[in-house]
Amino acid sequence: MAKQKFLIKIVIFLLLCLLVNNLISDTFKFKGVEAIIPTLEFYELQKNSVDVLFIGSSSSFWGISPMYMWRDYGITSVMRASFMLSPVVSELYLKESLEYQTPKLVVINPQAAFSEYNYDAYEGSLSNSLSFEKFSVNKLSAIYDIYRDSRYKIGLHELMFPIFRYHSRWSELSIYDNDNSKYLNGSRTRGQYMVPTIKELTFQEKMIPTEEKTGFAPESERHYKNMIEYCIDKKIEVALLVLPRQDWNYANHNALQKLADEYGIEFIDLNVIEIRETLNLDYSFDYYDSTHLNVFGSEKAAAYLGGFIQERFGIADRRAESAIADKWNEDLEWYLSAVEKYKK
Amino acid sequence: MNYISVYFIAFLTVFFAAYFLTPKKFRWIVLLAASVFFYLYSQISLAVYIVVTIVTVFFGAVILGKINASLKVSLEKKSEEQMPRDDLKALKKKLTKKVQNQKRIVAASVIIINFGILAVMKYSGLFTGFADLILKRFDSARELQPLNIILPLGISFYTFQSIGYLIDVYRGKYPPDKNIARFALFVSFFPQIIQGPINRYDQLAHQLYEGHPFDETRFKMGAQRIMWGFFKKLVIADRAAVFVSTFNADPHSYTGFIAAVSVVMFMIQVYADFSGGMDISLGIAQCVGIEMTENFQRPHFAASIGEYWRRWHITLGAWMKDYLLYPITFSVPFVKFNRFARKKLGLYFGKLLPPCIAMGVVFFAVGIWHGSQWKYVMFGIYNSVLVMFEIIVIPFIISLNEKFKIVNTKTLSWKLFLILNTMFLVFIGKYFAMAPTFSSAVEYIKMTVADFNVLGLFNGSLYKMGLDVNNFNLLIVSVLLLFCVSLAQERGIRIREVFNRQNLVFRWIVYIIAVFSIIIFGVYGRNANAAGFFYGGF
Amino acid sequence: MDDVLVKKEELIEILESIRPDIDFQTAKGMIDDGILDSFDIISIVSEIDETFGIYINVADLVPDNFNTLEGIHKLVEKYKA
Repeated sequence: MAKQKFLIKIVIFLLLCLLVNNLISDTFKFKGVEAIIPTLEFYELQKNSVDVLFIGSSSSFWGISPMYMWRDYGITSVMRASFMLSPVVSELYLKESLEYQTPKLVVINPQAAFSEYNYDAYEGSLSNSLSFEKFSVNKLSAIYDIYRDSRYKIGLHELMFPIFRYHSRWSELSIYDNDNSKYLNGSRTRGQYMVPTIKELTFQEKMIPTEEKTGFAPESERHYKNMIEYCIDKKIEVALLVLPRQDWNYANHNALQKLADEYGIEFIDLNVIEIRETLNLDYSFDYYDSTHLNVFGSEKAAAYLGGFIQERFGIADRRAESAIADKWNEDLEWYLSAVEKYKK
Repeated sequence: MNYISVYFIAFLTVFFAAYFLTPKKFRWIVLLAASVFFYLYSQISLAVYIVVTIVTVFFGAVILGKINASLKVSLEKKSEEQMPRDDLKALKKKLTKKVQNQKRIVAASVIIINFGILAVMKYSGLFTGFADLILKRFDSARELQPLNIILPLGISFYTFQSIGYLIDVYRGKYPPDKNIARFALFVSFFPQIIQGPINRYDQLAHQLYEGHPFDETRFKMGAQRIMWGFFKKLVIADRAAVFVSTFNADPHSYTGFIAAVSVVMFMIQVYADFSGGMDISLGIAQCVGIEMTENFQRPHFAASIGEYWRRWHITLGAWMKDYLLYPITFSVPFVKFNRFARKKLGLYFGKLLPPCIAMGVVFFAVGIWHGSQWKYVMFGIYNSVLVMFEIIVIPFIISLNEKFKIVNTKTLSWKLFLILNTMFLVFIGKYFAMAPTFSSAVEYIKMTVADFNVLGLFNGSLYKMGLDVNNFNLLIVSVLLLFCVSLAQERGIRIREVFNRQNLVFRWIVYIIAVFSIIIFGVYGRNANAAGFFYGGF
Repeated sequence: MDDVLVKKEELIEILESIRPDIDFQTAKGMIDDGILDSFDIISIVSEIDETFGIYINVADLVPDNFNTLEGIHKLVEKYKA
């Protein structure tokens, strides 16, 4: 009897700890701009209001511009991306996003399928991209995958309870930590990270035709296949996309083309010579570094990409629908003036 | 398994549940299973050594017990026989002597095997160092590689504990244990395996074997003690450790003042770490109704070096007293020396000199118990000399004072002076424990004297040792908390009892604060700046 | 008169040679009250061992055996037997 009463006390105490944890956990999380801004913006969007969902890592994050695609084609889209986004979290982002939005098309950047995620080196980014997602069954499953794929080096407790991961931030907490909206700060990019830095590049032709196919890393590949299959099951159009980058070659292209063909889906490779010429990128202006476009380059990418997906997948031009257009135009104004400021 | 890990907490939860759900008769098996699991989880390959110890000591003790018993029987039988008194005495003496030799052989073999293993494991560095020095004379190109030996978990502690048991059985203090599984539990009980305390068989064994009922108050007190231990370790010790390791990484880029502060930090680190570990160990034992011996008694309040060593690592000192000091002082050559000293040097010195020398040997042993490096030899000698000095000189000074009334020794100010003096002496000794080698210790001391820039207190240099302002201040606050608690304990206040009398709401608030303080302020895990790598790659 | 193995007087002589300031006939609780310190014990035991040709086991170095003269006496007798 005494034992039972004691056990009940323990359980209640643990529940209390859980409550306190939920109250303070958000304050301690590291507010990396790469994770919190797009996440906050995503969940503030009106439900079921976008037609295209982009999922990808930093090359997408910087190089795709939903805003330019709105301006030029009236496409409503949003991006879920982050730095060094792991395949596990990509899958999580997809599943969670589809709870809030019902896009007609999902465009996935499957770059990360070529190598196993380096959990040791990128744990920080991983944690950052994960910690702001709401708690759900999908998140639990993602946590378990990370725990296992990282060979148990990232602790379950750190993943389940970010306070264990970020507790040492206590000495650098600021008032901003309590008020997430301060991070958003009126930012309206629909998930793009605006990078104004320019690096001048000398172009090197790497797209030399070949029969080779680069191999995929099995664990990473599995998550991308899951994502494709998930969309197909939900009867949502899905496509693969790779943005212009100097380290791309045909071996990579062939591998992804094969994957796309397996599922009968579209593969948009902006590195393919014909398309690349259409993009007309300026190598002294449009790149952040050899593998990422900057915000100026994203305008050019959007010009082609928007047109392609509108035609290929019948994505509606919503500029005439004032209920939607007003908000988008308002945000577009903010976006364009921000780009202007960068140009100076 | 590290104490400081989530896995350990999970292990404890399962352990407690298993213990209290098992019928009382079999609870000792749960203890044994948990200890075996704990040991194997930590290092399966080195487990062979503790098994060797368990087996040799167990059977050695059984043999000794048999010899003791059969001696007793034959002595009694002889007493019943009709014989003149003197003949009986002579016969008994002969029998005892013969048996004595048998016992000596058995005990010596077991001791040599076990201490031999310990010596090789711990001190091979010293030997290869010597051999290397000699070899270099002949062939300077050759260099002996030191055997890179990982020590089996707890080897210094369980070896001493087992040999203590063996010697007790040898002395006939109690009969040996008849059950090797139970004996294995005594040797390997996991709360004591990492760093002691070194328990005694007659105090611990029966507690292990008896199944204890669940007692809520006792469990709560144990849990509170465990939490306190985690606080000391994670918040205080590991934080101070950052300061110390920053200094040790590049000592010459800091002032002598910082060197001194680093030694102080080291003292805080070791005390909080070691006594915190004890709190965790004793707390776990208390939860399951087992009372182990205390290993620390607020050494910072010691008024002499001798007293310090009776408050610091108490069980090691006690072991040395019973199994090293007494055998030395009662050995035949020593007794002769004692008599000689009392005759030739008078009552005062004669009484004190022999035990003084014996103590010197003991403290030297305590010093090198810590490790084989020269710095520990120096540490041993340093403590030895201080203790010997105290034994010989202090009583004389006390009697002088009583005659001439120089100082009033009953005042607080005098007590304070003694404490500060002792702490200062300990502080000097710690240079040899903190520095990586003997020569670097000497260097640090030189640095401290030459470059003692007290302004370092005010110019922010304290905040550049791996701990920013907030962390440094937190360390100071938590050390103050620790000090206040120990002051209360020194005055006899039983903190946990007082606490448990308070109201539920108050207690639970304190628990929540305590748990989250440890989680938030503990030094563990990764650097929180998750920014990390956001370039390149994908 | 008891047939003692060890004369009390002999024992008192030894004890007083080590601590002349103690009245062993009447003293009680010599260990518990800190009248005898551990160095005294060492000297006393050494001297007793030597004089009576015995070897007192460390296991018997407990307060009960040294708190009073009677305790010490009993201990020595036990060993002489």
